[in-house]
Amino acid sequence: MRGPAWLSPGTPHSGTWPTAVRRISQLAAAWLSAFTAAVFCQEAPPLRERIDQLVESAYVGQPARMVTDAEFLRRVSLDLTGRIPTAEEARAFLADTSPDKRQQLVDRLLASPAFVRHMTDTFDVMWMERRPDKYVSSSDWRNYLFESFAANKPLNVLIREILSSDGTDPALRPAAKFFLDREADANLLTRDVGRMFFGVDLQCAQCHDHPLIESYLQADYYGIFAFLNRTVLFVDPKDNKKAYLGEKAEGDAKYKSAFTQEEGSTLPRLPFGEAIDDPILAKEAVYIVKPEKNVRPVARYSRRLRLAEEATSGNNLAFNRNLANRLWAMVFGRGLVEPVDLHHRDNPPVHAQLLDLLAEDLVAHQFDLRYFLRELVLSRTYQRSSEPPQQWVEYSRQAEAVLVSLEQETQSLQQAHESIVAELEKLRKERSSLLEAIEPLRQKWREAEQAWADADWAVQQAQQAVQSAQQALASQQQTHATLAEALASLQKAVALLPEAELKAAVEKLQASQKAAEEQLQKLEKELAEKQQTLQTATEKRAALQPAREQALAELQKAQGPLGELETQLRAVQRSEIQAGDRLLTAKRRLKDAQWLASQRGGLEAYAAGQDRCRQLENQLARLDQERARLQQQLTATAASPNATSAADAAPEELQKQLEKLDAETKQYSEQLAEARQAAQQQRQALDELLAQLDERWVNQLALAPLKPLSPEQLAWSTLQATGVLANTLPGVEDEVKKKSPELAEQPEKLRVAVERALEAKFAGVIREFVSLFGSGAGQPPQLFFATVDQALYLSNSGNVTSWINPSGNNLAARLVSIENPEQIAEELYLSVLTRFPDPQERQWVVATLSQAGEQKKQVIRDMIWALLSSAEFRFCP
Amino acid sequence: MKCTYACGSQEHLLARRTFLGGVVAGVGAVVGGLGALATPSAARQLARDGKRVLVINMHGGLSQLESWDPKPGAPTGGPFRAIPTSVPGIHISELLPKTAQVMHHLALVRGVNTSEDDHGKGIYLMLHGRRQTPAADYPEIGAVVAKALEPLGGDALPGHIKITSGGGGRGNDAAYLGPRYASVRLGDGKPPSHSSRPDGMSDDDEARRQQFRRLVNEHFLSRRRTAMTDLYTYSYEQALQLMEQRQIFDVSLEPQKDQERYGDHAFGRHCLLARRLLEHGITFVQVSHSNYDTHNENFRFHYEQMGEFDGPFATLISDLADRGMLDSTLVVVLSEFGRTPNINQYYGRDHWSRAWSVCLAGAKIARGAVLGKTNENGTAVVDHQVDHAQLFHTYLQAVGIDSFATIDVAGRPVPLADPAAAPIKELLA
Repeated sequence: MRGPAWLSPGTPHSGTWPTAVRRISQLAAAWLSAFTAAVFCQEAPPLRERIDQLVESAYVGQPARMVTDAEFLRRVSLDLTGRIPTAEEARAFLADTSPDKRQQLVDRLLASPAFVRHMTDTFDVMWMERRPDKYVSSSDWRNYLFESFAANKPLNVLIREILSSDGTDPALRPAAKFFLDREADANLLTRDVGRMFFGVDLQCAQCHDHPLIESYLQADYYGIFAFLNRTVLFVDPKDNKKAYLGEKAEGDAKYKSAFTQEEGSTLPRLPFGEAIDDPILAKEAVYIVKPEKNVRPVARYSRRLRLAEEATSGNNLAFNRNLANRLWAMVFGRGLVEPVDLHHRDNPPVHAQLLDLLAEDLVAHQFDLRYFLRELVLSRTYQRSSEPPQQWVEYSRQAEAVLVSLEQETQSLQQAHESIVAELEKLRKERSSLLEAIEPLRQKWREAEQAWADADWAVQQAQQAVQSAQQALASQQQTHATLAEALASLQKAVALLPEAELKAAVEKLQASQKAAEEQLQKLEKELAEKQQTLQTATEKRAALQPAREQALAELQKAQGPLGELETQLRAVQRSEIQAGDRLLTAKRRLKDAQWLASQRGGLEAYAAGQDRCRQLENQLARLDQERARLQQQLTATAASPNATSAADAAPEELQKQLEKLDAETKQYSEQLAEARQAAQQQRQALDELLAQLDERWVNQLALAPLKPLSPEQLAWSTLQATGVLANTLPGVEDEVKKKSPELAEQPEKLRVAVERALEAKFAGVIREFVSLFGSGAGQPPQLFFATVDQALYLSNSGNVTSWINPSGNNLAARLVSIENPEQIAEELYLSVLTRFPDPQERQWVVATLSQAGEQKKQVIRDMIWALLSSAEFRFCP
Repeated sequence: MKCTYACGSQEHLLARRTFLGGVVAGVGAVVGGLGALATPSAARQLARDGKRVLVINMHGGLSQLESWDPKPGAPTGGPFRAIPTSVPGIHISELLPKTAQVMHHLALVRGVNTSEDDHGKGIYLMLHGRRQTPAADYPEIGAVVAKALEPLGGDALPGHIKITSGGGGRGNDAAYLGPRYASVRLGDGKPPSHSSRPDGMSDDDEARRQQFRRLVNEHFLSRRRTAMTDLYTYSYEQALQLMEQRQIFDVSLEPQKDQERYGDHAFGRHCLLARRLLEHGITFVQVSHSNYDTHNENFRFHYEQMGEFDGPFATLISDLADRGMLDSTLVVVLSEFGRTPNINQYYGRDHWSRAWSVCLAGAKIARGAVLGKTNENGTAVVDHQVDHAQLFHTYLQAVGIDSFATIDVAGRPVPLADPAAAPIKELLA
């Protein structure tokens, strides 16, 4: 039978793992699977539909329109493959008339090697935050990620490997980068493990309870810290570039508040979890390899492996939610909890129920990355446009209309939450009084267990000693027998041939045999002694057994309902967290609606101002028409003064009318100018308001945020747009085929090899983009900034300049060779912005080209540059 | 569908940008708006005053005994004498005769104890005002100053410049303030990378491509406009402004006479460039003088190095004073640590952080002052001991920044300077 994975191999674990604890975890597992079954075993509609249902039922007002095919293509290509499509791909997709073409596209993208590369980029940056290499090279690490994503390794398995690899197994060594390159620093790791795997940044709780975030306690920080502070960096004394993780069997997580001076210490504990006791091991047995100078310590029980197991088992709410939230943020541009590493009661998810749904579904589908992303991007919610809807006043009115029901909802959620909290407190009290009552018994049991474990260890040692004594004896017996045989033959020989030398040999053999016999006796005696020791040890262990059993029985009896209580507590705790978040979401929504309703006056006034402007503009347009008509008449009259019919007015009359019209126009124009000025003033006042409104729409998931491209996305997309990628592709393909001819027959593998070769080819370009557009090492990668050096690079660098000048079959060369300016406009817009130009843009390109004359090449270069430098290119639609 | 609230005029852009703050998180939330540091009116006031900071980093660890705190005659004193200065009663090393003449502008802090003898950690704590910890990174003084003193509405020119002897590019020294406040490095005093047009691009070409760009942008922004799109669009206008002002990075445009006064060597040129940059309103400039890590032949090295330092430094101080800039410009001469009073067998001095000196000048710093005292052999501070955290507070206060203020980092208020320390009141006039 294999021990739990967090016990290092070779652990004599039978009996060291308290049955009580085992029973509780079994119960918990049973409860969880029952829970999962209840939620998922009924025929549930696909995740994407359940997402839309939850989101759409909470809309206040109209959401933004759905994205066009072109927008969808650009967005989903960037989100799944990290680069925009080619003009050719765009044309094909736009021309495709099959109703499920979006789904087909998504499946195609998910199966492409570019998806694997983009996931590698994304998770590399997410977990390493562009830290410089220390002990594991970036290329080893990225290869490992690439292969993991190519094989669609479940994310929890991937993370388990990352949290548990100690760097000794060559296959998993790259996974140890997370720990090794942070030099196994317990504080840094506590912070980053908390942020990246549980969505909580506990850094401020290192020295005291978080001053602002009520739910971040110093004890939480040290709960994670306790899993990690025994892990040590072991640098190979012969090669200081090679490092491994070792682990000690001692080291407690003690802390003292810098504010209150209160002291505490904690066992390992995950966020939202309970403290985890170490298993009871014999004192002598806590190490597989004891710590010594230049020796990598290996503890028999690894708290770090325990962390890896507990976190990724699917039972930890914080872990599941964090992962679901981060995947959501990857494609939606922001998390349901944002910032993604600050999940706490004052920063609740924008939609708590949705987050719970995502987390549960992710677990139910074994943390399958491709499945999950596929569901997300096929939801209607993902396919909302990033252009804000314009019905502000309507929105504000509806907000007012739903206020009452929102208030009611909040109230009932509040009551529900309060009753759960009461239940929770009751259970907690029960449990703590029970725990307090049984503490002496538990202590006694632990002591008995410890004594038994020590005795058990002694038995094992004695067994080993007996075994080796037996082996020694057996081999001595063998020697003895061989000697006896040889002596007998030799004596026979002497009897036949009594030569002096033979006799001497007999004597010598006799002496040897005597010595062997003595040795035999000695070994027999030793064996007997060892057997005696074993006997004593076994008896001693047996003698301890009743006390141990009794202690356990007493403990179990006294514990009584503890197991059940804890299971119940865990369930209630989970409900409390979920109900609490739901309440907070509702409160946030209520506050938003109240704010929105309160802005109605301003919004209406602005809308009225807009209407007034429009009316006046219409009036003026009407006057313009009138004037044109009159002028036409006037011209006609002047041309044929004799043909005046009765219906026509005299020229004087017309002139008079025109004058009147001019006066009217002047009057309206003045009014319009005034109205426009007023609207302008209102607009400036409203500017902040409307920005906030956009924010709220985005938070409601009714409007897609504009997502800035990551440095990698920007680099790849620039290479794609300018046609550099397509230009390079044939050469790269030839190189790959030349290097590995066997790939010519394996199109799938060839595609992967080509993607990787492209990555290697443009590594320098990507590095340049990262240095300009990426956050500094160790800084959160989602920070957006626009600096002068970026604009200077894109405007003046040799790289960009060479890409936008004609070369080979790049975009500039293609455009220069096209005669028809309309076609140039189409190819330009499709290549750079993944859409056809609108009539205005078409006209603009045509007009510019018609004036270009000799300068066609330069004008095309500058148009490509202008599109590349536009905000539309910099952000994902 | 026309989004009527987008206007796109430059003033409007600026106004909107201002309320949206400088660095924007990927989500559109505002990180560290100026409001975190000072009230808007106070910020405007600061900008008008044109407060600036110059840091001169004596790379490798300047010997306090051969500079600001000589101990002639002591067993640890070395061969050089102390000379009187323009302030009666204050003596400095005879290696700094010209600096001695501007002593009435300077303040010497002779009781520095930073307890850190490692080069990397030493310079970290001096530039960050905090000890280095793996779990938290803080911005350097230059980034903090560039952020806090940024003119309202931003500036095309970078606020944080390091003149280096090495390469250019952007430094990774702004931590959570974001790359916007990271240093722009002028490698060997050359202008920022990519700040001149590609070859063969005429004025007309430039005008045309910019016109295209604005046209394309207007079209898009009329439909979707956010703080981020504004920042991005604005960065191109800033780039153009920087290209137009590129000559301010060109030290060869300074009068020949000044170039001679500052000396025909890298440090002299860098000091003159620093003066030029500060005059053109750059908020923070850092110059380095290398290398003071004199484990061997401390005295010969200091004789040469101080000789090179003395002239340009004294010239720079008097120029700043003459031009009326010293009242608004803080000058800090720092190192990662000082050097051991004990002279080793190679006539060298080793790393010593227990008792060393920093020299300050300008802004609100007291003039012609000495604070702190070391014992006879210079082995310990006996009066007014200060550390890096107190100094950091003092730098900020000297240019009118509330060093106790916090900055909002993704919802967390992070104190600008170590909250456990305070400014050195005696140094602030």
